[in-house]
Amino acid sequence: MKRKPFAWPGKIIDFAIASLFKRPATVRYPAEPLPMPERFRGMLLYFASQCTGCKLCMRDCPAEAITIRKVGERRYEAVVDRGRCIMCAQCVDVCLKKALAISPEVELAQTERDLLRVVFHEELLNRDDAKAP
Amino acid sequence: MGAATFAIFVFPGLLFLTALGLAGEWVDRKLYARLQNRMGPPWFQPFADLVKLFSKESVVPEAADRALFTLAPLFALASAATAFLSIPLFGLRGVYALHGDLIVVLYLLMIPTLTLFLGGWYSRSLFSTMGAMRALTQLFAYEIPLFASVLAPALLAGSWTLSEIAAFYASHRFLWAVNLPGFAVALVALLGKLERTPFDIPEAETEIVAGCLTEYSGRLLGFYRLAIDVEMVAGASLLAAVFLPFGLALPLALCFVLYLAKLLLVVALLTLLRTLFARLRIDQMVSFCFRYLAPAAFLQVVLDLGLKGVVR
Amino acid sequence: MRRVIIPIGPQHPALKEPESFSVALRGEKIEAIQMRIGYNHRGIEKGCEGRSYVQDVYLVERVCGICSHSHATAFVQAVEEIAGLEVPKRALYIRTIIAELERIHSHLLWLGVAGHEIGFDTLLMYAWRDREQVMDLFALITGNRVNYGMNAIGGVRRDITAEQVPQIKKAIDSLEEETKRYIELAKKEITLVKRLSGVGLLSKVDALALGTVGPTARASGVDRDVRRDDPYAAYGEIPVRVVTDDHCDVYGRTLVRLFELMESYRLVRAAVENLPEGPIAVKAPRKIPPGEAVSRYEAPRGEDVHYVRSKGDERPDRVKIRAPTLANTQSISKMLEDRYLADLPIVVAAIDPCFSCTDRAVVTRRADRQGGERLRWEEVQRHGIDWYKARGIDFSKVVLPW
Repeated sequence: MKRKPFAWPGKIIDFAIASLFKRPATVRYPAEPLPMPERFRGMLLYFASQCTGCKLCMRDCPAEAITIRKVGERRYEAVVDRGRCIMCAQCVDVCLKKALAISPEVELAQTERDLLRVVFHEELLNRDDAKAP
Repeated sequence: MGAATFAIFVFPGLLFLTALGLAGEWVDRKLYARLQNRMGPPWFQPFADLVKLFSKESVVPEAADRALFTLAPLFALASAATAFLSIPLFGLRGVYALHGDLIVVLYLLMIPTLTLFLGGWYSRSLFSTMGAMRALTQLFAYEIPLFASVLAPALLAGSWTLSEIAAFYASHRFLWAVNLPGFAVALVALLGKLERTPFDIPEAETEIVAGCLTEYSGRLLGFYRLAIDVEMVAGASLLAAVFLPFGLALPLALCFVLYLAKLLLVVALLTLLRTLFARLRIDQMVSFCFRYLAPAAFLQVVLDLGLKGVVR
Repeated sequence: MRRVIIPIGPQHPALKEPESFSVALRGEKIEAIQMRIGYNHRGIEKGCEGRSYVQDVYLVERVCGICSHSHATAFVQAVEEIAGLEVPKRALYIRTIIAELERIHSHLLWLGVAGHEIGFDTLLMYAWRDREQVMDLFALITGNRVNYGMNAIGGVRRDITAEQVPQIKKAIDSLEEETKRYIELAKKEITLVKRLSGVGLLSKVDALALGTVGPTARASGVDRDVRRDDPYAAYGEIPVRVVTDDHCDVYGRTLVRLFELMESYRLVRAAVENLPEGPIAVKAPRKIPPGEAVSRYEAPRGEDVHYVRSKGDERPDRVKIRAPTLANTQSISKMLEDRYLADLPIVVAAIDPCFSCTDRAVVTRRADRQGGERLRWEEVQRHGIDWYKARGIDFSKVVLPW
């Protein structure tokens, strides 16, 4: 078997030495904030004023995360289980009245499972402080 | 009695050595991270890791030999620390200078590997046994180049005692430069002793979980980790003392700072070597050591023997 | 030296997913390997039968995190074929762009994992840092870093806007620079070459006989690629140059994946520059007419086959997924014949295993009866409880969380 001449190892050295002088690629989260791009699918929002109670969102949700409840004559409220939600935004796409939206907010962790179940009551909502889809 | 106790336990004994070992580990990890474009741990991380390990329960497996399992890490730490006491830190002598202490230091530095083997073997677990076998195979491969290259400058100096070697090189200025090829060989062989990439085969994480240290946890693992750190510092100091013996006639404090600088250089070089290579297989490692490393070490020996006739 | 049987897995630092290898060793040499898979079985195929087609797109996507778009597209293509839908051109191009970006991120992930398996952590860190650029692109275009949710039956759900195009091009340019360096490294770094060469040998004959697909087969000289042989999405209009190699070992697989990266950069650029105008989806019916279809897709790991059968209502009758890793696992024992234990992690990593994709139905048989009869679910459950009781577990102390 022909023996090859000795090849010096360590070809990655110029990469390595150059990295010493570059800023580290690590993001110092959570000391540094890490915002997600605009279209990122994070937190689900519901606007009771637009909802007609057709329940198409409930039908199409792959995780059975949203429940629409009737609380009065043509008035509805939604219970969103953020623990079950897979943030696919299928409900947002299928809603005919644009009553659902998804925002890029991703810091949704809670210490107890019950806190993840959010009820969107009708009177607490204000259309102005949420982004329209 | 007071001075000896102080020397053994505080400076440059266990306390100073622990601090130096942890500092060395931090330099190694921070430099490794920076070379990989990452941030690296804060300065207290190795200390925090040690405190965490010491506060955890030490589980001894049922099948393991209890006595050897618990004693092995202590022997490792003790021998590495004892080796350090003979190495000249400032000035020409170490704290405990014996006649022929270069050989003593080299043998003492071999004990941690043997205790790793014993600890792994007597853990009686599959992965530990494999790691122990690999550790011993690796020992045969790198010891010859390491011994030969470290003994070459001693041959030139005509003595096995570290203080006399230091005195010789202090009187012949710049003569240490002829030993630099041996320095390179010793660095690579030291990587084998410290079980770092490309020679971290005995504790290959992706193949045999953690090798010899698989069954260790808690305090015993803490001792082993500390022993490995101290071994790195002791090995690096030995290399600095034998291959870079310049500036030893300076005043005490300056000499100590110079020693720290040399130690930093050797540790940085070891880290750089760790970053650049992939891990070798055991057969490739043995063949590399016998085919390239050992001949290079012997060349250095021949060079030094030849020079011995010339230099008085 | 005595023969030892070492368990690699199901939990092991080398394995990213659970699979069990019982390796019979003599010293460092491997004598025999026994493989068991099925630890990642989640019942997705059955889950698809209980959900509507719209919900199934998301479920099928979650078969695997790395090749999620592959599974979703293959499924959607099968359903569109049954329903006879004509997907608009723009949607096909967008699917292709996401598909190639997924291939890029998967191969960069593989490069890092391969580096880690051979102890070369520096390569891991660099490759995964570059991968972050692709993940950021995905977050920008699709709205998520993994499990993109881009596909809908009849097209795609999100459009690529004009502002995003320069960002895509910039990321691709920078990635191409880095990949060229990795190719140089793979060719010249001697420790890498020594660890990867001659390891995991699989001749062309064996590759064809064992049914390997994807880069594993292409590194043994098998010239098969679904994108060229059976074009789907936009591959009919943007032809693919298939990369093959003759090394037949792990080194060859590395080279094939690196060159496929370069090819993917070219494809993304071509697709982005020639993106046709038009709608991004057609309206799909909720009830898919009866029929069945087989759809093939070139996932980053090889050929992914989906079979969908519809009875004419909102839910599929049967969904079957054959992932590429299932085809490649058969070759592992062949590759590791007479090799060293140190080669096992890298050989397993070289087929790019994704056991989440692979694990489908598991059949349990009784071993004490001749021929074995299939166990029913209640019997398996009872057997499990009896097994624990025999080991002294007191079931009255067990608190169930539901």
